[in-house]
Amino acid sequence: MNIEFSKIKSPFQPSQEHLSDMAMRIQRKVGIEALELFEKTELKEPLIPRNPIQLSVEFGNSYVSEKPEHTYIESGDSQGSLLSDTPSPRLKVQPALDTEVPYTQTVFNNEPILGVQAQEISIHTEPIANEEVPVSRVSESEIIGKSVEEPSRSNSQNSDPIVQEPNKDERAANRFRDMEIERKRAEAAARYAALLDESRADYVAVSAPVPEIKKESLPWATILGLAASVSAIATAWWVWSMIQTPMSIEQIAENSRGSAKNPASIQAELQTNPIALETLPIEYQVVNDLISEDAPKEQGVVLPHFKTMDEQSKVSMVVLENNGLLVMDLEDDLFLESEL
Amino acid sequence: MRQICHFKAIFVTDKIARTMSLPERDIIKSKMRTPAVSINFSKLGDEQLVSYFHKPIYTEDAFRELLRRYQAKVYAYVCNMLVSRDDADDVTQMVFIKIWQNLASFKGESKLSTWIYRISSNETISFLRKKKPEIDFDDALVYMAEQLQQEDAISAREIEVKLQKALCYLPFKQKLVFVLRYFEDLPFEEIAELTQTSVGALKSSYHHAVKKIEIYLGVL
Repeated sequence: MNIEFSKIKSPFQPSQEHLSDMAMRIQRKVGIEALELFEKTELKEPLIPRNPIQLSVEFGNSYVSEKPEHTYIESGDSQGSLLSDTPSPRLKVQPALDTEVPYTQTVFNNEPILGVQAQEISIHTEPIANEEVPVSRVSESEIIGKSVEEPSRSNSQNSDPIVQEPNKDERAANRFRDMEIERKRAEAAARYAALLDESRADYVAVSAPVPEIKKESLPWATILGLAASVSAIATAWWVWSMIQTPMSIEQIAENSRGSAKNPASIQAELQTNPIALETLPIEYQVVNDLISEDAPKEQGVVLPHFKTMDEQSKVSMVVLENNGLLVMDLEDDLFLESEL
Repeated sequence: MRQICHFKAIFVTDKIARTMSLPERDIIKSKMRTPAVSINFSKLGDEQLVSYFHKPIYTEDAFRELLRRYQAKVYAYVCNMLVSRDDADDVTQMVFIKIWQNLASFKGESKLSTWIYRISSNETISFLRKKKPEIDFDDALVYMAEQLQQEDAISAREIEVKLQKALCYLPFKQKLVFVLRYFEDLPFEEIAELTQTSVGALKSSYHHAVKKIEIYLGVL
């Protein structure tokens, strides 16, 4: 295993807390004001990925109708006290069938209904399907110049006169305002729900336009152009090589003669002696001994000490070492305590 | 001369301060302690940092910066040498106390890191000498291998622990050279300056250490 190739870390890595504590202790020991030198790692809440929050809400969103449904319109207690014989001060409202929009209609029933027994007034709240006309449709109808049929007209005709029906423009304006309010409320509710609970955010409809990912790719024309240019270069090279005059035998012979350098010297280099073990550097011999302990150890190897050499030898040893021809072993008094 | 002037100034201000009330004195003293120009020491290089060791107003801050920079390195180095974390804690503290005591005497002739590693090596050796007076640094300190197994704080990869164990079977001098080169990434020239030896000898020693460790890792 080559430990230099794949470096192994030390297992003794101090933590920030440990370093911080130690730094405080050291500062106190040396007698200086102990300050925090390392930032302690604080436990942070994991980042919750937020789903995109809807910007518009369709009618009937579950978050809108979270509040308890009012199927009754409060008519006021005073009314009840005034009319002691009335069965119920509440006016029942039929729940909507086609839509979930909690549509409330203001009923001015504070007006004295003297002599008239209060009765349950049922107000149809199928506004979008039948009674109510969407704004777009209103404007459409205005453009066309035709009046939109209002099925509730018959109801209003039949209903009690105390229910004041607002006129068409007012109703459209009210409806538009109500829609706006509902939309804003639903937006806020959805945003709040998404912030509070990630799991609920999944239910939020995504209406924000997601930009399409544009795939960047080379156009066909570019690819074809590149291919054409490469083929043109190849063809040109081939043509050039074909139109060259063939070399004569003399030229080939001369070239080969010129490239061959000193054939005699090559022969001389080939005559090499086999490498003897003694010529190996000492460091490899030591390693060899370590690996194969059965191998007979080198006898009579004397490692001269640097200090015992004469001055000239010392100089020559240093020169050899600087040129990488010699490796000196460690000195014995290497780690004597130095004076500070 | 500057220091004399500084002390004179403190003396005069102390004299004035005696006539003041206690809160006023505190304010004056805190003003005296805080230097007129605040320096961001973290942006200074080692050589620039050394220049502030000799300025009494900045010495504390310069020492803190030195502590911030070298504490982890010294601790890791001592840990690798001694194997025990508790011992490393004590030795690291001693190292920095010694640095603080000798801060003014450091002239910057060698690199700051060399000086710190030298003090760390000396403190480690003297700690081991105190612990075991009969210790021989030419031999391997094999008892550390047993100590390594008892070290609960080690929760490392198997190969890292194996390497530490192999290091325990090296002669102490070779281990020191190996740790400085392999873990601390010091150049041979700096280690040579630190250990007062030749680069060639260090290279040879390191080479031997690497070969032995590779053999040990194969056996262990």
